[in-house]
Parts: sequence; structure tokens; C-alpha cells
Amino acid sequence: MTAQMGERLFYEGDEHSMCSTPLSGYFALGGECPKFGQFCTALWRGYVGSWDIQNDRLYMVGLQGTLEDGTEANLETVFPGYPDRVFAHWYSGEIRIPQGKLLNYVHMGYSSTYERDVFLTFEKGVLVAKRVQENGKADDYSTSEGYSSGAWTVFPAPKKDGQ
Amino acid sequence: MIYLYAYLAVGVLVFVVVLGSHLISSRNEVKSEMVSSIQDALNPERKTLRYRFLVKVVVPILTSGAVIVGWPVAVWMKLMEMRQSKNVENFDPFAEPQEFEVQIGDLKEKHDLEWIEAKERIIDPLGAVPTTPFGHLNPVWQEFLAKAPQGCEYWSFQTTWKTHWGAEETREGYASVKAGEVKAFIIAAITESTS
Repeated sequence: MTAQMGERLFYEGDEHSMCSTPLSGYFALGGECPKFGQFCTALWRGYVGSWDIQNDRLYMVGLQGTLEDGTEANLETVFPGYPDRVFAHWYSGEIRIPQGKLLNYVHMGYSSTYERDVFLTFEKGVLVAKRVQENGKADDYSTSEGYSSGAWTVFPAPKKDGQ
Repeated sequence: MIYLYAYLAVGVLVFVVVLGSHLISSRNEVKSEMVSSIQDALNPERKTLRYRFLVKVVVPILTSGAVIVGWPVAVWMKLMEMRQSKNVENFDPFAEPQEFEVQIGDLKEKHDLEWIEAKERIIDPLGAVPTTPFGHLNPVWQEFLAKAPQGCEYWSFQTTWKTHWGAEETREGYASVKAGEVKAFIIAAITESTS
């Protein structure tokens, strides 16, 4: 399995990569899940969500993905009538934000470790706790900062209308 | 000296059994030409006479000698291999995950429908959620109500659940109960265990 692309999180004025997928909780509770295509080995879930924390509340503010039939998906694909922002009231759990330099790359899921992890705990979409975990210092100071997935394979998406 | 002969005799017997078992299992294997071509492409030395002599003659002779002389180790390794393959047979990665169910023992408290709907109405200052009960998950609530039989009771529930991949979760929600049986349920919250 390939290391997976993270979700995007806007928090405290910065953009971060998030190694958690809160939207999967919505689907687990019975929310209708569109048939996302799996065209990239680093993106088995088929979409990348963008999230924002405003006044300690978690909002989904964007979604990029492609459906099995080649149609582009967006936030309204999952939440009709809500094109700009959705309050993630269904989500209770811990979001992990890796920071710093890469310590150990694992070509699977979100298993790679970084110098630091910030954990944000949510209860029904509301931020209730934050903690920082230091994981060590990277030896190689030429390594770039922040989470990234390594190599991946892309499969061609189907073209619409017989193109 | 007789003990040495007896030891080697047992070694020969073990070798014959191991060889027989290997020949039977390799006869059952499907030989794929595609796999052979890929292996030849990755390692061109496979086609050379030297390589084939080593693999087909030298290695078997050395292995036979090793089994005859070190048969206790060979027996132990074979037993470990049989135990491991039994564990692999018992694991089915494609098995249907166990379906979640609410048991009577998971029920917490009885509630009115109106109480539940009032409690599960979500308010958001940015208006990013419907004002209906259960917010964006209101269609799931409607589906639950449709399944609830006439005259049933509504109870809250809470239980822990182990997912197919071994992670533990706390699941809370509501169930419709009639005649001492859970008829339908809706999961309102799943909290991942952080341990």
C-alpha cells in the first residue's frame, strides 16, 4: 500500500496536512457516500478534503475528487445545498497534524513519523483538547518540512460521454 | 556407533518424507509461464547452465545432506511451517466483517421521541448545518423512524465495538425496542479509542 495524501487543514492562520479523514466518520454513520473513483494509489479514498477550524469548530470547506464515471466531485456532491461550508457535527475523535522534518518514511497509509505531531481532539465537531507530541530530531537537515506522501501510481480516469 | 547409524537412518527417513511432501506440493502448484519469464528477465543468470547446475544438482545434494545430518532441526522447521500455514488458512482477509448490532444489555435510558429530536438538533453560528434533528444525518434518522414499529419504546445505547481491522470504538445512539427486542437502531456518534 502507498503512503496516502493528507487532508488540508487551515488552522491558526496556516495550512497544514492532516493525517486524519473526518469525512469517513460521516459515511460510517450512514451518510450517503458518492462512488469516488480510485485513480491514484496515494489516494484510495478518492478525494481530498479541505478543513477549517473557526471558533473551535471543525468545518469542511472544500472537497476535490473524481467520481467513478469521471465527474468532478465537490462539497455539494456530498452535502447538497452546502457549497461553501459544512459543520462536521458528526466527528468525535483525534486529528493528527504531523509537523517538522521526516524521521521515518513508511510507504503505507499515514504511518510515516515526523519530528512533531499535534493532536486536536474533537467532540461532535467542537475542539476540546490539543496536545503536542515530540518524536525526536531529524539527522538530515536537508529534508523538507511537513507531511508528504512518496511515489504513487496514477490510473487514467474514465472520460465522460464517450470522449 | 550403532546410535550414529540409527540417527542417520532416522535422518534418511525424515529426508524421504520431506522430499515426498515437497514433490506432492510442487505438483499441485500451477506453473506460470508469465512468472517464469518475469523471473528470467529480472535475473538473466537463471538461464545459464551454471545456475541450473547449482539449483538442480548442488543445492539438492547439500540440502539432503543437511536434512540427514540435522534432521531434528528439519522436523522442527516442518512443524513450525505446518503450524503457520494452519494460521494462514484460518485467516480470511475477504471474510464479511461482523455486522454491528445493538444488544439489550447496551441500552441505557428510555426517552421520548421529542426529547431525542430536541437533543440532536444542531445549532451552528455559521449556519453550516440543517436545523433538523441529526443535522446532515437527518436522512439516516428518517430511515430509522421508518423502521421503528408502532408502539415501540426509544432507548439510548452505548457500547464498544471492535472494527474488522482491530481498532476499538465507542458507539452511541438510539434504538427502537418492542417486546424486549431491539428492532432498529441509529448510531449517533462513533468515538475512536485513542489508547
